[in-house]
Amino acid sequence: MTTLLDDPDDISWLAYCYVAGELDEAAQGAFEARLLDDPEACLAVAQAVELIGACLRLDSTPQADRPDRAFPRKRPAIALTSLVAAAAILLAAVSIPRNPPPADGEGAGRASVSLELAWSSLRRDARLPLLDAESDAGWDDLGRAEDDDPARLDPEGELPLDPPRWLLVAVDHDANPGDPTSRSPGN
Amino acid sequence: MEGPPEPGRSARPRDLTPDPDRLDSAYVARLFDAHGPAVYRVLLAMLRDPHQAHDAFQATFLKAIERGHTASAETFRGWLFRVATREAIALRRDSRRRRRHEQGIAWLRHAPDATPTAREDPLVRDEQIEAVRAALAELPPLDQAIIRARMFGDRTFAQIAEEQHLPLGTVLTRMRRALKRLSRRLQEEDEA
Repeated sequence: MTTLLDDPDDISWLAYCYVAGELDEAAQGAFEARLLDDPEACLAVAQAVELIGACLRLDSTPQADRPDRAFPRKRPAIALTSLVAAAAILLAAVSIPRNPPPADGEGAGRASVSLELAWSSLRRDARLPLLDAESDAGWDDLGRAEDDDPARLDPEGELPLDPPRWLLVAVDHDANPGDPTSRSPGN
Repeated sequence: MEGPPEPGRSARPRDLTPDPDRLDSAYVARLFDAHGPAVYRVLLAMLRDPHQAHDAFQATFLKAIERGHTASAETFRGWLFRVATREAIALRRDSRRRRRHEQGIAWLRHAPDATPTAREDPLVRDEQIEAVRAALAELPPLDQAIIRARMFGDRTFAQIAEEQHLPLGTVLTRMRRALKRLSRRLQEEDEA
């Protein structure tokens, strides 16, 4: 029978069970003892907190405007295409009977041109929403704009650091233990 | 003639003699930036209380300032995790603060969406939420149902198995597999 802990080597699963409170007291104690000496287990716990935190916030966070790859906007585009096609065909169908049957080839040519115009208009109009929905050009541009951000170009920590005040106070005080002004940097 | 201090080692205030007993502030700040979020999440998981997690977090980095020079750059993350987990266990043992270790995941739902680390680093970024949302939508419907029942409905695995008319082992296997996929997507987002 499969149990929660049938694979103690699966550190990600163990970490999830620990964070989600699935472990009994003994298993929890054993896992915490492992955390003391196993940085990978600590990292797995940090990742589990991140994952569960993201899942819990799914409900309370409205979906971003960015189109989701999992749900491409093909259906609305197809619906719009159908609507445009139906309108174009209806327009063409209504316009043809109003033209009397041609006595010569010129009239037949006009009807044919009218149908061709309706069809090409239909195709042109119908294609636009599909291209709009399927193209990634707009998002690629956004991606480039983000790449231009110097903060993203420098992942090596060259950005100005902004540690909290208590950390600065501690470091400064440690550097100048006898200096009373060192307790309040920036004052 | 003495050379400049080694990277990460501080010079004494009135001369350039390297001080082997402490780390310099810029180096500590960089370590804080690199490892702070993960350390805080571990503390939050162990203590299940943001206030206690903040206390332990501060204590951990104060120790890093005082004793961090004893760890090499390669092992510093492990050293920091060890200090943090000890701080958390010590804090829990404190009789004045002793309380029952919270079960379930409700404690994480109510944790404030902020960490004590630099640059307004939230516990979970919007991009991460969207990455998980997309990965969840790509899971098989049954896996989605299991994740939703456990995460949002706070059902036990036994209850989910009963509701879905599945063996408990199947539910656990599917949950584990689904979590791996979500986690992979989240890590890809983190590395992007």
